[in-house]
Amino acid sequence: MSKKLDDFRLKLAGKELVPLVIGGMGVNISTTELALEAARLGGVGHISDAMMPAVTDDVLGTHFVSEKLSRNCGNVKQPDKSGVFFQVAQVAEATRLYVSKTMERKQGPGLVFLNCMEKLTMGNPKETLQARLKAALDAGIDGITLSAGLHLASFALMADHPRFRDALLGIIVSSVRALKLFLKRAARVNRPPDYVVVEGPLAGGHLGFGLDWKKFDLKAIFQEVVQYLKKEGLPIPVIPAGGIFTGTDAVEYMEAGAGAVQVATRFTVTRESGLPEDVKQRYFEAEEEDIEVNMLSPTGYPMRMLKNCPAVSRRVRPACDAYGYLLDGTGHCSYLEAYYQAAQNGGADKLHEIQKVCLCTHMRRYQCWTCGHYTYRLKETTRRNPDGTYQILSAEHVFKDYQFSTDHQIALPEECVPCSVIRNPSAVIRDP
Amino acid sequence: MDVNEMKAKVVDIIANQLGVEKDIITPEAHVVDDLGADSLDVVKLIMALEEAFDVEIPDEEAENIRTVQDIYDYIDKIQSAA
Repeated sequence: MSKKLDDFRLKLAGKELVPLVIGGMGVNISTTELALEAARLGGVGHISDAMMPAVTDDVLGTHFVSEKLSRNCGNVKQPDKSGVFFQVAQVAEATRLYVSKTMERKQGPGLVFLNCMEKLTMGNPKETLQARLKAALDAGIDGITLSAGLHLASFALMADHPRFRDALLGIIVSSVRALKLFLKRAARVNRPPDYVVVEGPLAGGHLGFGLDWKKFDLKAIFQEVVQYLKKEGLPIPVIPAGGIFTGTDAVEYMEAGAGAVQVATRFTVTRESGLPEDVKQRYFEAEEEDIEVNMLSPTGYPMRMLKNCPAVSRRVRPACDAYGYLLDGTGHCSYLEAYYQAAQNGGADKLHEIQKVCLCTHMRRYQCWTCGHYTYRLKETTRRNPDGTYQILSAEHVFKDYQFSTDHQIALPEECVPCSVIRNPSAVIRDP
Repeated sequence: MDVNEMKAKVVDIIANQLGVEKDIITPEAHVVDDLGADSLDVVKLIMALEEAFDVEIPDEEAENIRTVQDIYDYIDKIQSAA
């Protein structure tokens, strides 16, 4: 009989987990609810620390954004953002609040991790990163996945935290070279990572490759990492990510020695995903040619997104005074510079020529539709409603499909109640 | 360690880390443009220099290191300060 993902287990922290990790999707696409579902079902869920003060405002009714804006409001129309900064204590407070509110609600045998991005430099890279890492540990997060950067200093930044040795800490890499550098630094604090996520070129959002991403192959990089760790005698679970679309894709990696697999795209169209309902429909409708990898991100890294999203065509005034998550230590962001240069050279007419997007504003408004390579296959995973829209899935349905499917089959959801009622008004209404 | 010893050691490390012939490691050689390093190679090189000279090169300083001469100058500065 062909194998299913549920025939395997991820062994972490003395637990035996369903080897399925839902990757962190910012800004607030991987919501608390999505992460909690993964944990309830025995796997691993992520919340993302992208723009966490803004997300905390939206979810918990705090006022971190307006507080920051009021401190910096004299500066809104100025290109010089060197005086714009986050109060580190506020960053820590937002993280602590959001993480603890998530962890309080956790049920079931699984785990909830925080995806923590190094490229979120927030005008003060080291201190804001340290504040986020430590606050998440304070608030009882099960683990932290270090992402979007080499994180050479991150372990040292939290080494004096009482939970540094017992919380689960992992790193996302896209090459064995990056992993070697990280491990070398981790050796200084005598603390290897608990898991390594290997993200390939078909992943969603920012990529750890150049525009030549097509030359790379997840399977090859994954094998290289597995071989390297084996040679070094490091029994660290390796978790491939990027393009794993069916349970059988996952099984193939498990048979090749993976500790678990990380997935995300299929969960973007679940009820628990933070994307607005109409945007979920755009994800379902996407065809292969609607997905592009471009250089619009001010981070300088290629990013995969739906090319019909508003962010691709709109150029807004930078809102660093309220957001400013990508400002470097001296107040620079490549979008900010391009915007004011265009404004100086020709005003509004020149703005459309800017080859960057204001990622903070567009991500917060769900206008930059970052996605994985196989987003165009999402329509295979559900049914159409009578009005032509696609039926939104539950995270539980998608999770269990990964867990139990065989032979690359994708289970469709049960027909939604309204459809059955339309066909047979006397049908008993089932609990969805 | 005198300056010439230091420079010889730096050249050894660069040759070793980047897998390039020593004769192209001239003072004016640009680590990325002339010696073919990519961003990860640069990090690897900085880490090897830190280890060999027992110094810590902060990221802000590392960003200013572009040529072989920049490396000589930085190590020299640190060693004279010590």
